[in-house]
Amino acid sequence: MESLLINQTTQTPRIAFDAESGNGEIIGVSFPEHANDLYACVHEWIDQYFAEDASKTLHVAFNLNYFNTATNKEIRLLMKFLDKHHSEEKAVRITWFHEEGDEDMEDIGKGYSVSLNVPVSVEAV
Amino acid sequence: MIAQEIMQHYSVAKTAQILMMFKGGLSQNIVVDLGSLLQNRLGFDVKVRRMFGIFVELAQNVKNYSAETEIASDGSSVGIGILILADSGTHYSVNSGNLVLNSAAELLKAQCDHLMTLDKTALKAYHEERIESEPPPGSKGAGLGLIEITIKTGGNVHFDFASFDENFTFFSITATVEK
Repeated sequence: MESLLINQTTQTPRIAFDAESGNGEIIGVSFPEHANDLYACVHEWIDQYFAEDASKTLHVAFNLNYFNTATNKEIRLLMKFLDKHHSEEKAVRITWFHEEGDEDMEDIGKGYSVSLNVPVSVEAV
Repeated sequence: MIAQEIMQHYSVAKTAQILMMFKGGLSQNIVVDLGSLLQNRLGFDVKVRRMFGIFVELAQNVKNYSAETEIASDGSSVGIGILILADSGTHYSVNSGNLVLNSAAELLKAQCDHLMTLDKTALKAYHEERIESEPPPGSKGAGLGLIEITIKTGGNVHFDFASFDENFTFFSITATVEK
């Protein structure tokens, strides 16, 4: 299957998921007009990735320094989606990067590491 | 005479320590451009980002909910309003203003009054409840903007209403964050 690559813009993050390594990253800022359209393709890609081979591993790295409320909701949905795959015995893990000293972003990551079963590692960069 | 008028605008902006003011239709492209302008002027450290988050939320609020609209260059209908960013030295203040229908103002006022009664814990619980539910009818975003602004400012947000004419009410939001 093909890797997923959406280049960064001034209002959207770089979204890159590698079909070979199973490493995905969402990096930058996110305040698009239609956040749901942007993140829907990530759900599709992940479903397809595990449909091909359920024994593959997936590591998703979030490294966002700003997102709007509509994106916040999309990230929540994506996290739950990853949690669902994890509950179906898929090898999924998440790293949530935040800038050193950015407590807002750190708190969001820590919230996910507590509320989800899928492993979420919160790391300062 | 013209210089007098422009000097008045200048003096008002100077006295109010205005960093940026925009009045017009707030298409997504304009919001992005104003955001770039802010970043060029102020950088993008963690405190600017907190202000920037409020700025984008207020701008998208005007875009989605102003009762006064225009057709943007991309053909979409966008809300018209005013955005003012001021720097008091210790704080940023982000202000928005737009028209709402008189008939819609009462419900909006009730929602704003409700937010003002909630403490931090209750705000987070309300946010949690709303993010988990479908957006309310008529909402074009996640329906969370006003709640997040109230949380992000630690309650330093002021909603106000002024009578505009027989059809419209002017709705303003003033949000303040530490620099």
